[in-house]
Amino acid sequence: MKDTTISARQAGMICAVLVLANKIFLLPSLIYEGAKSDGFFVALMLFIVDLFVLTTFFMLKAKYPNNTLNYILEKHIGKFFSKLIYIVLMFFFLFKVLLTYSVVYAYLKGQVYQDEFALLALISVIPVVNHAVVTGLRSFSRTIELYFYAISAGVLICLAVALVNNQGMPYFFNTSVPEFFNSAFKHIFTFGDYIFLFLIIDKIKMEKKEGKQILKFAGIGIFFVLSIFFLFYSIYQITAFMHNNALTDILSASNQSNSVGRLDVIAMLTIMFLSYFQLSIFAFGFSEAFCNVFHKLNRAYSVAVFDVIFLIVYVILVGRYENMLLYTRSWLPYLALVTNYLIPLMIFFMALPKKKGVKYEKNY
Amino acid sequence: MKKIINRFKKNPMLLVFLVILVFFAPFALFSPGESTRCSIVTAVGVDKLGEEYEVSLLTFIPTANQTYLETNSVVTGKGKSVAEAISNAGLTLGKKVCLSHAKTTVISTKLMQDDIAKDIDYLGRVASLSENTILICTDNPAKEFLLAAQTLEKDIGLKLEELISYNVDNVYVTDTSVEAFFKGYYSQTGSSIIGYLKLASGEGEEKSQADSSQGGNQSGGGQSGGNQNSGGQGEESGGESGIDAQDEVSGYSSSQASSGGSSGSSSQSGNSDKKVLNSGEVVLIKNGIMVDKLSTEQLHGINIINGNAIDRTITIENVTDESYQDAMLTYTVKNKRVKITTKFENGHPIFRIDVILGLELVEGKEGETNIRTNTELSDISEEVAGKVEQFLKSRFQDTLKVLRKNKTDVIGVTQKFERENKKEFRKFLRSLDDPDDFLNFMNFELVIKVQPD
Repeated sequence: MKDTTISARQAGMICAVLVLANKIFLLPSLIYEGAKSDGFFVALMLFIVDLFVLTTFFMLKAKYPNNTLNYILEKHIGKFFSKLIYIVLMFFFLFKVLLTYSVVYAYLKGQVYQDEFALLALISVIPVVNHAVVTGLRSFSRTIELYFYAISAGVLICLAVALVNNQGMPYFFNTSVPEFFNSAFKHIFTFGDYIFLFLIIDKIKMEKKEGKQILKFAGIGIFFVLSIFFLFYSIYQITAFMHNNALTDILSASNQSNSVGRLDVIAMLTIMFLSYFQLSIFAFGFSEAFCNVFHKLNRAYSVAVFDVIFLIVYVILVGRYENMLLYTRSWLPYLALVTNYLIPLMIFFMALPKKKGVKYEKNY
Repeated sequence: MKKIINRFKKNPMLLVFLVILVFFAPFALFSPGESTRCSIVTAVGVDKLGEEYEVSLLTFIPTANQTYLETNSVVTGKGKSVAEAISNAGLTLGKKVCLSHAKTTVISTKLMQDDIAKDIDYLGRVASLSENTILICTDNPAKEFLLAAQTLEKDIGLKLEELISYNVDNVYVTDTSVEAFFKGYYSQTGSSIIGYLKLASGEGEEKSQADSSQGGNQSGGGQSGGNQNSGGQGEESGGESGIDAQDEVSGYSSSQASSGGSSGSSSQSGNSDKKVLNSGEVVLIKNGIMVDKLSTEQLHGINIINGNAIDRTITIENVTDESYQDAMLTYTVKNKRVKITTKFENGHPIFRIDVILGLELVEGKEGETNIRTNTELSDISEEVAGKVEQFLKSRFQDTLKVLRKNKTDVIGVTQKFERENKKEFRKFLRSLDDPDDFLNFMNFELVIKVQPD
């Protein structure tokens, strides 16, 4: 039988790539509107909650090292609710793909392909994403592994140049508590990416303490995002709301860096690679959930269904990326409440030992 | 053939590659060159005519040329908003307006009678315009300024962006970009500072050249030349005077319009004799409105507390100590360390600036003769240190008066207090009838330590 498993290290890299999804272009500016520079703490808080979800994953993996999520859910809550959860996750990942694609498309259209139109851009995205999903988790994990250090180097160069451009500390602690939490709620859909790991729990090979690898890479991803937030707020301070592409803008904020021609090409390449991987991961998440709802249909069907639904929703419902952003801050946070917190909380209880005193082997 | 088909079957990614190639290759092959579709704008000027905006674009025309001269042209467009005016300028050009290379944005002082933030909001937000685009203002319409700037390169081989860049690095030594303007505008104090360049007509040119040469003579003679104010102050304060070599007014004449010419609604008639005058002045802006102009000396008054502003020259006169007798000495600031601290004493805010200057003697005269010692290893006596300190303090005080009068905090007092003494500072502001006038109630302590480089 074909080996479909991935190592803990590869899972960690997937985590790092997911952490960067949708958080390094527009998000710092959007959060600034509500929480000012305290948006940094909003991101920090949401990451801390995400880390609890990751811990829940480790607990579940310790209790059920080789079982699928479907098996675990059916065992605890039955077939119907299990399917219901998968349907919710299907929608979650579908909208994650839509959000990622919309934001990246808007970014690249502004920066590079001013004359291209969305559907033409889709031609270069959909086949690659489809291929990644069909070939499976193992192959695209290996591709991510191959490119991860190049991506990290890209982000690090952006951060290093931004450090040169840095103009002091951001203005912290200027928002009220309701503003802070309101802003956090509005953007929770952009977080909560670790739920993907639950979907592939049976496919991650984790020997003793190998969970540390996942934690390490998740930490790297969080460090990247928080550094970008911090530098963005320290460079732009009170005009952060006027800048839409954090990773590019921190690069091009000074005369020194601008004199090196179009230095933002580093950010562009990094974003392009990251986006392909993020779209593939989210699409795989959709496909995995789909296959668990419709057991009889294989992955090729899920990909075909994904393409059709994606195109219909994109053309009819989303169309412009502004619409997608509107949904992200209006009704999608409610969906995220379920996927990011309710489902992991439920899984947390499932991961607890059956009897008091029973201890599972710690895997991180 | 079968082999090829099998290869495609085994590697479906090749098929994906082929599909992408089929869709994109024709577009790439048959699309015209970027320069034929996009105009390369190097500077943007914004004017207002009645209710309409007029945007002028200094545009680089890529043409085959046997010289190193670039062909530029000024193209204008009008519209109800700046975005619309730029779009209309594109109609005139017959090309898409690309702002990625625009390094300068020019606005006229007339436009600055009203809040300019709403006039240049688009330029602050449009992603294709670099954040570091320098914002400058001029006493003439921006369009005329760009027409005059066109000739700079032809006449003296200087591009507008090079001139602006020189000013930013050596004269202003502070961020005067569009971004910095907005940072100041949206800050608590609503204060910003931007560069100011004048235009002079033919008569002014002659006058300026005369001024310039006069200034040069006076400098040579150890007087303040174009800086007679500071000379006067020097005399009042014990016969000292100071002059920075960079203070001198320099003018760039333009005898005729460049070959690029203007198109669209722009016109070069009547502008051929106008030239750009760089006197190193800046403009103070409060809530988007121009409130005052700072001379180069006043700007240097601000830059005393700016750690990045080095390589200035300081000239002191009537120095008599163990080494010199009634000498005039010119020092260059080779290094500078600035430490700013804030505190409250009995409810009074204190803004303390400690400046350590490393000076190098570069020129000296005793009466009519040059000093006959090696200046490289010269020490700085207490007399010299005292005079330098007095001169710099007096210059800082002069600038502070202007800032206080206009309620413009462009030296970062609010920022510093907000970071270090937020609660007390806000309490202090609340205690004032007009919190905007807080500079008048702020105690400044300038401590200058002078040492040899």
